[in-house]
Amino acid sequence: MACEIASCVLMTDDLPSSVAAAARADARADIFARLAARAGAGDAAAFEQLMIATERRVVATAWRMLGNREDARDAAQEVFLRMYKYLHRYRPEQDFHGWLYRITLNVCRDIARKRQQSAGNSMPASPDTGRERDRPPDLSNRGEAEEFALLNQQRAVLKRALQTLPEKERAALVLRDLEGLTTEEVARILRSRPVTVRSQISSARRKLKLYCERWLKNGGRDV
Amino acid sequence: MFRRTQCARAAKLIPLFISGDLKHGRASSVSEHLGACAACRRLADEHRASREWLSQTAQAVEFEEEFYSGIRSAVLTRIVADKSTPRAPFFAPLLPRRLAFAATVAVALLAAALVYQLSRKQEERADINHPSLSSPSAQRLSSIAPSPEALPATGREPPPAGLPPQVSSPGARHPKMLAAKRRGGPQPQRLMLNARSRSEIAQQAYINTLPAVMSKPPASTRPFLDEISRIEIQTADPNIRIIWLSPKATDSSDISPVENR
Repeated sequence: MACEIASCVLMTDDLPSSVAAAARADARADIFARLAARAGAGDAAAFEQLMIATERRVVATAWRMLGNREDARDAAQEVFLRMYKYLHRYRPEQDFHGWLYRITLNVCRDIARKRQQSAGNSMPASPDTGRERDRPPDLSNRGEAEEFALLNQQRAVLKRALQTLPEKERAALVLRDLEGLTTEEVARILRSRPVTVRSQISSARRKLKLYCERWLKNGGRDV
Repeated sequence: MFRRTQCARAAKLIPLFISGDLKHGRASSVSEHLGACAACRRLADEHRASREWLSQTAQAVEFEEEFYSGIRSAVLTRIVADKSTPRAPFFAPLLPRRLAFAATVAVALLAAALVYQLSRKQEERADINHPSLSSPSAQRLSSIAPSPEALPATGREPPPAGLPPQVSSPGARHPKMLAAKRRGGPQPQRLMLNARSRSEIAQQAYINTLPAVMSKPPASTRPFLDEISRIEIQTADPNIRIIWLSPKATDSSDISPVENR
């Protein structure tokens, strides 16, 4: 799978950037559609390739929605199990990533509800920040260590802020601002209208901004 | 007032304006207002800073490689395990496991009860229409049917000896009786009983078997008739009428006097 995408990138290197980007996107979509068809037919290797190609995106989305490493891991496992179970329903003309995002959001919603029912509190007690893949900071270098600590703190604030948003607004904001999808793509994934998605994004951004201002006013303490 | 309305409207649209999510017409009207209103310009700057902070802070979250490989292996293990376990019934996702089991048992019991009822009804129908010695109901009844001497006296003139009394509900004409009359031959005595209760039906079944087992009447009592004669006697009970039927006499006749209430 990785070599298929790599060869697709090499082929488009000589094209103008916008055309190349579109061509790469089309080729990538085609590759995913073919892999999904093979996995749906029972090809275990194709299914594993699909998992490897999409696991980082799925885990990142789940982590942003749930704010917790363990929940994100459980959500990712459930997403791949559902993907395996419903691959036969996937049609090649569908956008594979959109379909996968929809599954991910549904799983995150189910886990959040179970967590609410069991704990009675949607916010995790102490959300973790996720360990970076990059090398750990050199603690002898004071500047780097401070930067690392500040980043972790900001991420914790962001996660708390996201958890205060209603589920639909959070999903719209994560897909639009953090995953980089367009409003139309977000509307397709959420099975909503673009005007509704814009309204949800606008409201989510206002609330996020307000939360951060209050957090700063409180001297870095919870709002 | 007008300015405040404009500012309120702009405040709602600014979060979309800064990310380019507004259509051309609205974007240009917001841009025009921002050019004239310092407060809204400040609000737009704050939104831009917030959005920038969001995109910087929420950069792609990366976990260690073991985290991702753990997820993959857990998923593949679960898929293999699910393939080896038997699948739940089609309605299992709709119901909790215990409820699904209870529903299955209830449906099975209901089906068994229905089959039992149907088989009983068929048995009863067979007993009525095709009585035979081999039928269990007829054999049971042969042991409990009252003997002629045990039948209560009606208070009327006793029937002539040898003539079988019969009891019939007034107006009842069993088709097989009519067919027997038309044929005129020796026929088993069929009683026209009100089939309201099983005992009446069973009694009829017993009576229909009697010609096969009873002995021939004495020669002196054999009537010398060319056709069936019929004598009806109405008892005190309006529902009970005694009918005497005398069939056509033959030597090898297996007609036997049937006496019943």
